[in-house]
Amino acid sequence: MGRYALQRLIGVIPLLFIVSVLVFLFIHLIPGDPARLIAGKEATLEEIQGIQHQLGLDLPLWKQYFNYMGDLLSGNLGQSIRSGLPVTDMLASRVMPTLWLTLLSMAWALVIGLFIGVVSAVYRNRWPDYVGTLVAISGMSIPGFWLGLVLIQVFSVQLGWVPTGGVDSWKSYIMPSLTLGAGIMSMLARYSRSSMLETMREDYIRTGRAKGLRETVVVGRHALRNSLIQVVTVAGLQFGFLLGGSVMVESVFSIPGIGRLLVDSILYRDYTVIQALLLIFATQFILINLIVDLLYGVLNPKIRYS
Amino acid sequence: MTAHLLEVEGLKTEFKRGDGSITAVAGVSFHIEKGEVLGLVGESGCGKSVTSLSIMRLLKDTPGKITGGAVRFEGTDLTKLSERDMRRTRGNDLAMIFQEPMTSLNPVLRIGLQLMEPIRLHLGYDRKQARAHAVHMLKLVGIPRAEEVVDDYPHQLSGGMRQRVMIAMAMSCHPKLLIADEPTTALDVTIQAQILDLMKRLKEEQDMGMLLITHDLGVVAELCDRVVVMYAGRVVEEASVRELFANPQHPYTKGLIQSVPKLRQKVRRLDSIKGNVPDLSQMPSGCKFAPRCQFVMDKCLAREPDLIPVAGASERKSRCWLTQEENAEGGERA
Repeated sequence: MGRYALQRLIGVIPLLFIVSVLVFLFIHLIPGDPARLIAGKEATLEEIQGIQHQLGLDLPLWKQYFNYMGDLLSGNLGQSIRSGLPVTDMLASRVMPTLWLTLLSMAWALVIGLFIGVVSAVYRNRWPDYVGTLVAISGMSIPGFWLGLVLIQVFSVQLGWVPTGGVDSWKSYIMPSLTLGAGIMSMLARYSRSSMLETMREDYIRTGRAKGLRETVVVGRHALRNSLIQVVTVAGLQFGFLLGGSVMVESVFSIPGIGRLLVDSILYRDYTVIQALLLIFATQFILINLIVDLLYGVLNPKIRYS
Repeated sequence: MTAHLLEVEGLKTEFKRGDGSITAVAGVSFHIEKGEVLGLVGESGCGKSVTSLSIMRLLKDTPGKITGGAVRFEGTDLTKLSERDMRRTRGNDLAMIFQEPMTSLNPVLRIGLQLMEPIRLHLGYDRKQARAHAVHMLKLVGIPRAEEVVDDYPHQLSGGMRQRVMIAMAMSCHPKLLIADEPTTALDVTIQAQILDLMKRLKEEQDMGMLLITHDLGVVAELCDRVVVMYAGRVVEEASVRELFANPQHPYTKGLIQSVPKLRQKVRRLDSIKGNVPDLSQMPSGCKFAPRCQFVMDKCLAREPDLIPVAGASERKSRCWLTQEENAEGGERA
């Protein structure tokens, strides 16, 4: 396992390099000149050139990349074009709400999704399966923004149980994470159902029963672990999409997270912030894939030992 | 009279298909004594495996269901047991090994854990005792480095080794009856011989009854005391191994024996039984073998013969009109 984990970790390095190059190039690929944008419409050519020099935009590209990487490694993501504040400071307060939101969404989606999937598979074509299917299909087909608004209307406005938005207490996270996780929960429920059904037909399940094991042991110990290998893949991919979903959910529930920061930055063409967010999203995606790969190793001895 | 170790009586198993149902096992009866090896022989699709799964009540997750008859194990009808009592019997007094050693072990769990499951469950050993017993069983089935293999995963073992593990698992709680469903079919010929020798040795050491399901008459000759031949979900002949090979009664058995290539005989083509096993949903109305039988008579197409004792032999039965005629002639002469 140690060797396998090390291999995966080393494999991440070239990916991170490619991501850093692409993110660095972003500022050069967008239409218009960032220096001109910072200087404003009325600026003279000298002023613009001054800013270009100040930002290092007049240097050769490779030198700019080295400067960029140097700054990055020392934790400097540049300054916001719009507010002039360091980007790291702007991110600092925004990362945690988004992190909590995505982790909570994923956690409940995994637990409930797996539960529904396993129950549906065990009681295939009986009423628990039909209920599970109904829940899953609803979760998949209801648009997130609509679900969010309905939740606000019912539980905040009418019942007053939870706040409509913000991040003042843990209660504020309940509805946003319900909204964000619904789609993934449904997806996981469907995948774990089909994966469980497939596993339950395997010969070793029959072996387990032939030993005289209880059905709960056969399902829990023998079937579930094998099904998880497939479910983990889907969960990992979906986790990546959670980031996209968080942009919408943070807007609906007024959560000051990086999803909303991205929307605002795009509206104001705050390129340095967008660049930093791109880097965060891409790195996060790579890390999640790394975790999925490591989980494969934990779940599947064939991978671990080869 | 003491009860047989296993007595299957009029077992009937049906499979749901669409609106109707198909009878895979149509009133099969046989018995096994303590320490006896009974071979259950027939072509693919004749109902051998379904019979064994019915005895173990392992038809869950298939559309199959036992719809009649009794399976008495030491006098207790297994078909009437509660699921809980059936679980206590499975893997304990009544164990089973399967055809596919490559897929019959769980790929994500260590060999030791899978071996220890029935041991802890039925013998009530704690973890340490169970592990020691698992190692002992691995040694018993001839696995080298047993202390290390307990911590291996199935993919680290060859097919032959995995089948040995399956045998060790089945034997670990000292079953009184072992059901072996084509235990050597998926293995290399050299490995087959080793596994058969192993099963023979263990059977003698533990004085265990065995139901050996196979289509391989060589395996039957090697291991069995008596044989039941099945065709289209029915028993067509029952005999001791010696009698079966020396003087097969049913034309189907004759065909089976003739289709085995012989060492000293020069042949251009292997003999085979012409035609195919009838589709279970379109059974002929008379004798089920009649469409393929070289001795077929009008009577055969009209009505199915009963399984009747063969005159002049003990515990010998055949389901053929010819046997009835020979019995009658023998009776006249006497």
